Amino acid sequence: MTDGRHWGRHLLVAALAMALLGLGPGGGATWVGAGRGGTALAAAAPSGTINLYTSESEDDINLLVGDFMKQTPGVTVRVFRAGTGPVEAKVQAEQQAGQIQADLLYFADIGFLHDLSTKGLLASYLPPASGGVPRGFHYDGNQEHEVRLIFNVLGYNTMAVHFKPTSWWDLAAPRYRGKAGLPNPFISGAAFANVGTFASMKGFGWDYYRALKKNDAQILNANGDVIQKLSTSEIAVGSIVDFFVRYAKSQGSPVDYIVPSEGAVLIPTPIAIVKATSNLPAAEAFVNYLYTPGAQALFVQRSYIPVLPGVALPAGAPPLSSIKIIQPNLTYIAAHRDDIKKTFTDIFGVQ
Amino acid sequence: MALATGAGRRTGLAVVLRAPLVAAAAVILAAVLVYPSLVLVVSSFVAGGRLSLALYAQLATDAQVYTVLLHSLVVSVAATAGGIILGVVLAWIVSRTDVPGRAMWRTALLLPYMIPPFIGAIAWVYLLSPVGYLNQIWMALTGSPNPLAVVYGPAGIIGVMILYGYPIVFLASLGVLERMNPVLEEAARMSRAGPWGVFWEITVPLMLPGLLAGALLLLMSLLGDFGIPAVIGFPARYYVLTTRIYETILNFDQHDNLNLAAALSMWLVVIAAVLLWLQRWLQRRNRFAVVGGQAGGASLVTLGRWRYPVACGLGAFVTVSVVLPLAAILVTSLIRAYGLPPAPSNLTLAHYAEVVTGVPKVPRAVLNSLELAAGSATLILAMAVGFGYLLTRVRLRGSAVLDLVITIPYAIPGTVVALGMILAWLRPIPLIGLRLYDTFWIIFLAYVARFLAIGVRTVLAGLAQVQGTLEEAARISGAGPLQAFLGIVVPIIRPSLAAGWVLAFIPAVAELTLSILLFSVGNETLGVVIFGLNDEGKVTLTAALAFLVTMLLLVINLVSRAVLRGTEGATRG
Repeated sequence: MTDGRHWGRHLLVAALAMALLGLGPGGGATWVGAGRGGTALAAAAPSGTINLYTSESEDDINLLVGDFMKQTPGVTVRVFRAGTGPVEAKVQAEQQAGQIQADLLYFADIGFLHDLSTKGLLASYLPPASGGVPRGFHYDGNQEHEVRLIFNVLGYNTMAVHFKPTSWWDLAAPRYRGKAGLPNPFISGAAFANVGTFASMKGFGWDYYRALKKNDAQILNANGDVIQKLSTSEIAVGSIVDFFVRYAKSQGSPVDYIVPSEGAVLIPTPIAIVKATSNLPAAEAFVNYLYTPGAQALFVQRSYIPVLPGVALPAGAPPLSSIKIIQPNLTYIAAHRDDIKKTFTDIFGVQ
Repeated sequence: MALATGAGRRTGLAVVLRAPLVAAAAVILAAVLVYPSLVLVVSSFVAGGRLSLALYAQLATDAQVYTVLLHSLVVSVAATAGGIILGVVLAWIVSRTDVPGRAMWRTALLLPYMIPPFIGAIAWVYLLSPVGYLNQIWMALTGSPNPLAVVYGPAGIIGVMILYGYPIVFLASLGVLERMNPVLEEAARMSRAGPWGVFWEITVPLMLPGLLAGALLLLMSLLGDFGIPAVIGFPARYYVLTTRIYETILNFDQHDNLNLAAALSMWLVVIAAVLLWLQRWLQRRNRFAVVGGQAGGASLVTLGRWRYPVACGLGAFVTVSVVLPLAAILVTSLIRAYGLPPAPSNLTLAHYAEVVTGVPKVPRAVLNSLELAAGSATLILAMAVGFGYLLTRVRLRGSAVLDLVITIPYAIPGTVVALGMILAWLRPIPLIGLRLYDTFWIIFLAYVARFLAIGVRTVLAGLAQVQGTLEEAARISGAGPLQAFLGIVVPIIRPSLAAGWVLAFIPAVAELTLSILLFSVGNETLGVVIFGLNDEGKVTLTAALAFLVTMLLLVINLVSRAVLRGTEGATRG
């Protein structure tokens, strides 16, 4: 905190004048700057501030964080939310700068987290509340934790589509020329995993994306953008994460989805604790909280498939056993991150 | 200010204070301008940790780079051309004709300037996306299955840039028209038929120097614009240099991505340098241009039976540029779920409640943005007074260099300024170990760099009008030079100080270009939050927050214009 004082001196004029203007420093945390939160020395009950970097949908994460803070008084969770790509850029930059400022990382790119894990930057933790959850949902020696399941599927607008799509290749069908969309893999981690998996998969490959380009498929922003454009029928069909469609449908939007004949792509979206966290108790408390029946019910309320056995599935979700699952090709993705993005850009280009 | 007048009368004080003042100015300038610029340039020559031209070679062989460069030039030149035509014609109408309601139109035609451009772009997406309101109405009326026009892509970018950029030329033209000697026009009018002949052959040539200055300013601001091409260009994968640099900065999977972005930035730096040079050259020439003559007293062109049609035309234009976009944002913010028809039963205030109370980063962003804007404007003002003292009273050598240094971050696109800040302050400062990246302060410094020129220019203009005799009088009665300056001159130029503060404050409130690259958790700004919600497809929340912020900016703008009458004080980020 000496840093803050130092700067205060440099900017004395500004602060002084601002005080005069009645616009004083206000929220101390912001003003003092660096502010990783005043962490109390290892107290029994978690307290203080933790930073959560995530690509979760804004309202979903606010719902969970709000509920957690209500149940864990004394802990403040500050959320940095952006698409997976921008969040990763932030983490990378902070690594270069010396230290990751996040205590928790929660986004749709297990490859990125795996990479951090191999560098020894993540903390190992087995949340007590995850007792009933298959151990396979904790990756890399309990360093990354799957708290609910999502799949990439084909969404469509029920009013704009006369023939229900059946295959991923329908996105390249002439009848959806210019009316098919996919999330941008530079922004969405789920989309990136999907592109990496298809690019290396028999029956798809980069030819699949060349066919999409030829069909004028639109590259949208994040999945939230895709569901919005499906709802308004700006696009008729689109590659999208399943829960967005279930949730929009439950809210009355004219959308639905199918699991294509080739299968749905499983998108790991684990949460991980940064080893360098200055507030381990609070970070662990949050991860543990996500496995509690209450949090799992909130996931269900937002149309996610829970990982805790015994929690009812969201309306409209098929039982897991009935879904034909395409496992993401994590090894290929890990080895070809740059290539995947580059080839994608080359194909879809700049208009 | 009371502090200064109450201070001791020893002349030695000025001498004691001058060295620290110069030192402080040097440190701040180094931190916000000189060091980041140097790091930016050097980084572009570093690949794989060693000095090399590899990044330039990589860019030189990448066909997409040329496409993107061409896009930047096409949209900004086309939009500048459109902005010039609109700006000149509108300025001429409201200042030289007897169109009814001239004062009202003057204000109404400045309104687009008070709306942050990226919010304008979002509004046009609501109006002219394939399912936008205007397209829906068109399809319903004509039964056509195809939309009337789709905003995504270059034409949409150019159109929106014209709508939110023309006021720069409009303001410049108004200034010239008001200072222009009307006798010339009147003489021409007597010997010629028709107002258009006078307009094109007398008015326009006379306006040319001032007009060119305005046009250059517009071209610079459009070349550096990030918000409009980001909102309207991304969906069509139509990139310009700023959006391409932004994407490169975020693509950490690419080797040396920051340095590559720095190399890519050099295109913008070179173009900005050329434009800046042109501007200076024009200024020098302009000094000898005969604009002279007393303002006012120009007899107005009689529009005759065209009076009301012209007024209707202005009304239609304001409807398109202001009313429709604001209405689109308002309607979208009130609709229960985006996509539903705006029937009364579908309207709700719930999104306003949610955006204000249900999104924790919104109250944080409000506080941050106001603190950043007020704090940077105040520091800029203090620096402006300091520079003013050094430049006009101490007659520091190298003042031309100082002037140029201050102008650079305003001429260079914000995206490049932000990249310079990242590269300069990403790692902790050696020795002190202080890290600016990820803090409030890096955004603060970026704002100071970006808006310094506006504040300094305004204060210098005020200082130029104060005669030295007053200070001399104070000094004869025993005050030191600095005391005389602070005690006598500063109070006199208070209106300029207030204007400078406001002009630096307003564009910072909804700033996007710098903050989107520099924000961190807890340090979100209003621009970042609106842009983020829009990116995520939270259409109704975006609209609610955008509407609140736009209204706030309109109020601040109109109130400060009323208070600071005489300063044409509309501005934005």
